[in-house]
Amino acid sequence: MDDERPPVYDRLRATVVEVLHVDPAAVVPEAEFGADLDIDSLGLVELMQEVEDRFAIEVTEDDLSCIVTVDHAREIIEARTADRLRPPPA
Amino acid sequence: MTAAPASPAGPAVAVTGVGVLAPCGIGRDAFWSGLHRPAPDGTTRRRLADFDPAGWFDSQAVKRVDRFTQLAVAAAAEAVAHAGLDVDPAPSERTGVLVATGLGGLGAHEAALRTLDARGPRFVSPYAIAALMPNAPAATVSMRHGATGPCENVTTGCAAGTHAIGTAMRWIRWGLADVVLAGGTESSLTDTAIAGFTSMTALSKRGTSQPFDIDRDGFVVGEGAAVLVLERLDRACARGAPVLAIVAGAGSNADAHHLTAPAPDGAGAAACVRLALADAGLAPGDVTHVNAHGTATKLNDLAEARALHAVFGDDVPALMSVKGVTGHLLGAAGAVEAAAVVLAMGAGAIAPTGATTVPDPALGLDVVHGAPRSWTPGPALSTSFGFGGHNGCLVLTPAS
Repeated sequence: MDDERPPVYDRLRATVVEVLHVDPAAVVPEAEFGADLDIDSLGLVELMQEVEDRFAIEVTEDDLSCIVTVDHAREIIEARTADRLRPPPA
Repeated sequence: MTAAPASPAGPAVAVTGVGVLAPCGIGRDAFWSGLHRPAPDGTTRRRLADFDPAGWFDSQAVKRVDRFTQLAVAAAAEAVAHAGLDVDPAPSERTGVLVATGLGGLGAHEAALRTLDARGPRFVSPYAIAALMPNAPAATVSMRHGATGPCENVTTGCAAGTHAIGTAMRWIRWGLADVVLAGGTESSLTDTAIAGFTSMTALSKRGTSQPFDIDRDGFVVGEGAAVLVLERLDRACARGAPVLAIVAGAGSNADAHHLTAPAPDGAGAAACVRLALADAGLAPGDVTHVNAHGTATKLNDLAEARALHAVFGDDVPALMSVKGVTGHLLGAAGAVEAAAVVLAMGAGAIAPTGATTVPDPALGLDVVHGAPRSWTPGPALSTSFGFGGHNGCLVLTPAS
């Protein structure tokens, strides 16, 4: 398995640790926010507010409802970043 | 003249635990000692020195609770441990919580406003509402102690703490609970609140708090919390708990006069005192000590003096006000003052009214000041008169 982490993941991991005060060792891609990190729905909102600010993206409520693991959050960040960078329709 | 209501049948209610956080001391023993030290001077804000919420909240949780909730949790924990209920709890459904506040989670509210202005609505914390809501302390205390009996909060301004203890007493008398964690909390030392009180000309220009003093010129604002464990006396005795005092009676009424000034003749306040005495089955001549509201404003102290003379005539019992040292703790004041009465019973002494040097002769009151006064514990009256004309009184008697 390729264990090279893209920068997005590293920045996300740092944000999770800072905002949610969780043990850095517990923050792995497959960690579930609820079951493994003990973060409830409000905590997830709090995290994604900070993510929006740091990544200059907008995350929707539908996006939030799709996030179970740390890796899901990474996917959402990459998708919304691509949205932001996509040229507007001609 | 209207007949006073008969003292209701119902089990006697004891105080079995006390927890206090006040500007003069964190913890009930430090608070009691602090009442005997010189009052701070020159500031209209009296903060708790060295309060560290880490004792009760981890680094994640502490950001999501306003300070007024932190103080309530700490006070409740001390009271519950004092009562021995941490190791020998009452059934959860028979344990109630009633925590008062005056202005609620002002700090959290103002932080949310600043975020809204600076970053927009999307960045207002999802925890903002839960942090600022006035019921947050009561709810959090119930969670910490697994209390699933009645859990409510009181917000009758400066009388709220006294009302909380009076109502908790009634819950036990009425059989709604066997144990109630009752008290009040306040941490409203924000610039907005101080500015508001200043604009009302309620605050001392000198930053001193001199209840009943001839030179009194207003109050100062403090932060703090107190929780008392109220428990059915028979239950407390059966489990060998410390019985620190009896909550013998309570009174509650309104001036219906003005949103911030007391009725100048003190009639509503006097009626409240009589209600509390009647509830306790006592006569004015039985009272041996008054823990006064004593905010150090010209108006309150005069109206309170008139009220006390209306009930007691010339012989108003020895009185003091903790506000000389702690400042006005708003929604927490009544609870801290009830705690002071309980501690005074234990110490056999009335603490001095800090910063008061010359009691105003026009008030005709025996104000304990300068030094503590030895006291054989007897029935004591605690009075609170809140903005809005809310009057609350408690009668506490020593454990026999």
